[in-house]
Amino acid sequence: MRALLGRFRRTVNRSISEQLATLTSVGDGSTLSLDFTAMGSLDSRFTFTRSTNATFINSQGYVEWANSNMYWNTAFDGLSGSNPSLTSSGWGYALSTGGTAVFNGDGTVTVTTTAAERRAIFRSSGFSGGGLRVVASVDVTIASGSLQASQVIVTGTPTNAQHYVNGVIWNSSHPIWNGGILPVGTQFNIAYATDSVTSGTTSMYFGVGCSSVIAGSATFSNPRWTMWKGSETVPYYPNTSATNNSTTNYFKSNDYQAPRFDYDPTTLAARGLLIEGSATNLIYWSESFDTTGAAINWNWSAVNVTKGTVTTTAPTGLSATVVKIQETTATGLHTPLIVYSSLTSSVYTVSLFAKAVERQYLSLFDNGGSSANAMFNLSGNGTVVSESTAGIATITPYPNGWYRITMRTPTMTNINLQFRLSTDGTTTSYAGTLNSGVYIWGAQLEAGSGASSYIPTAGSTVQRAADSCAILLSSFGFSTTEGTLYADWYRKNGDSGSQTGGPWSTDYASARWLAAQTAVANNTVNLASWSGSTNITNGSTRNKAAATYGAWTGSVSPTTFCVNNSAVTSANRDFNPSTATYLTIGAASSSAGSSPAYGVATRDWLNNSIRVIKYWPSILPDATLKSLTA
Amino acid sequence: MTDYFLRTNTEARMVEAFAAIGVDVQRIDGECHSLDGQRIDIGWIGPVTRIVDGEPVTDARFHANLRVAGELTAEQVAELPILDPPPSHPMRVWA
Repeated sequence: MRALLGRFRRTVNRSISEQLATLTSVGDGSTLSLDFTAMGSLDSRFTFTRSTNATFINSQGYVEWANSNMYWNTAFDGLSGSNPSLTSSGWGYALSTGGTAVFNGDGTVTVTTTAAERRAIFRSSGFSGGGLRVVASVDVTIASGSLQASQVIVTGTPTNAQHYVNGVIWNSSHPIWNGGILPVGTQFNIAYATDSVTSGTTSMYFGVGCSSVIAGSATFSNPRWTMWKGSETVPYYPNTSATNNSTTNYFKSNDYQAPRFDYDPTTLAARGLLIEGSATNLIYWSESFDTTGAAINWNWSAVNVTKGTVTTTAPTGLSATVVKIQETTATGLHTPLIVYSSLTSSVYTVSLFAKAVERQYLSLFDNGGSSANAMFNLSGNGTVVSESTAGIATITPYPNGWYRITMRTPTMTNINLQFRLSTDGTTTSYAGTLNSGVYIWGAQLEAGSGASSYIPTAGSTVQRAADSCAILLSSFGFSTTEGTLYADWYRKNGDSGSQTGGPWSTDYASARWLAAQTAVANNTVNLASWSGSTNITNGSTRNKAAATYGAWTGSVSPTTFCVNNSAVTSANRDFNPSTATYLTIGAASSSAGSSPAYGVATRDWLNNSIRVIKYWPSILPDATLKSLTA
Repeated sequence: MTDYFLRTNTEARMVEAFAAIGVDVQRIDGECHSLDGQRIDIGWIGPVTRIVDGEPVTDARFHANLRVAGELTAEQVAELPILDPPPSHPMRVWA
């Protein structure tokens, strides 16, 4: 518990001196050294946004929603006056009548209690379901009256929590616990933290209370409330949204959405910071596979199957109702299907989680325009048994016998998507055995080449927003005359040669930018600039690349580039380090025709994970570039 | 955050509407911009198709979703073709 609060406070209060300590403590001369495989959150120098929630693979190999700050309006935004209406404010009054809560209009609130009354404000309703963690911290100034320290409340439910005053555990041993009446003007910080709980309701509230006739008021400022679901620690981020426009507790649209640190679902090895562009799951009812209620629904009656359900462990690691494709005894194909007749012309990727039961072979099949298909063996390490075009299918083992299978289609505008059972990996037309089949979960159909993180859907298609992650060059000692950037990352998913996502890019300032990019088709890794790029054909699924730059000459900068221990290539590039202001991580910041905006990536997302990024304010020698990238 | 559901008769009109509030759209999937210092995300949908009595029925009008980190100004709201009230069963929502 104490460690939990400590991590929180360090993140919140990261000082200039602490940042300088980081800069000088790396030891190898680098002033930025980020190993994303060892991080659970980004430090405060980063600006990270994503406008929606998104899933990732957690350290146990399970599909999980990204962490988010579930509290909203942590700055009392838009509130002023005495006892204002708190409708849609994210806060509510409670505990008693009388007294006042005066919102001072500057992000502070003064709470007054009168004789024998208690008054507080708190979240308007509890979050139910368990599995939540809370850290709440606020600064307090005694404003008037004769309050004792024990009358200042920051607490909540569940009660298995720890309270702190000025970072010291708040109990009868605390120096001010029995200090008598607090003089007006006394200032301190009070905080509350609770570890994970498995059930019940979680609320948090603060204010001034009294059980006797002692009255007074306290002003609360600098509120830092964070509540999240999951095992990782979420740093505090202000959430100024003043309304909760979600119908569910966990995944409100106005949550702060945290960055995702992904893991390999098979080996459980950390993969680093996952940065993806936007994607839309066009499949309705991606887990329930319903037959009614959406614009387009699943058909379970046409091709010799029934839809069964079973309670089992889903790819989330949680017990859930999972659908089973069950054969009828009829002879022929055995498959559910869903038909889309007017898709935007594009390459698409189909993905599905599947688990063998009586059958261990399953095919993804487009019986529409493309006839793309792939057969999978859902056993062992998983095997692509066959595919209509080489290289269009993948299979990845997940925990508990699940596999995620994917298939890329050609460019098309309609699809008759089928999940065909097979007895042996070849035969798909046969006399069925009643109720034999496989479990399925998490179907996805998305434009583009390669499956992205899973996007759950119900009666609407669902769009995940893009990740945007950036850091100001001034925050890590970037040199405008010379430097070296290094990255270790996984290549963008898919196989289209036009894909150019990479681990980093400077901003578009004066059109003189520099970026590391990957093109899959010919294993090329590029050091790209405004006009032209240095291309090295030594790329792989995972890449290590280092680039150096020198001072702007008035028309170019000299650069060198090395990929996976390749020969070092020198070239002059259109990059002016003296005009660059920030580094975008996992995407590019802007493009011609649009205004650069710090923290808003607009193109060329990596769609995969970055393991390491480092920076030296000097030009490293060629031999070092080779050893770094080996 | 605030969500807006948009619809115009043509794609060109949708692009014009965004231009009117100062957003130079690129027409890529999931594009995002900074508008008055706040992030906005645009989801391009286009025509929408529903299966009615077993047959596809297409609404050829152009649809888009807009998510704003805060809220639009009244002037911006006036420039955009916002469905009011929003659809009870939207074709697409944000995650």
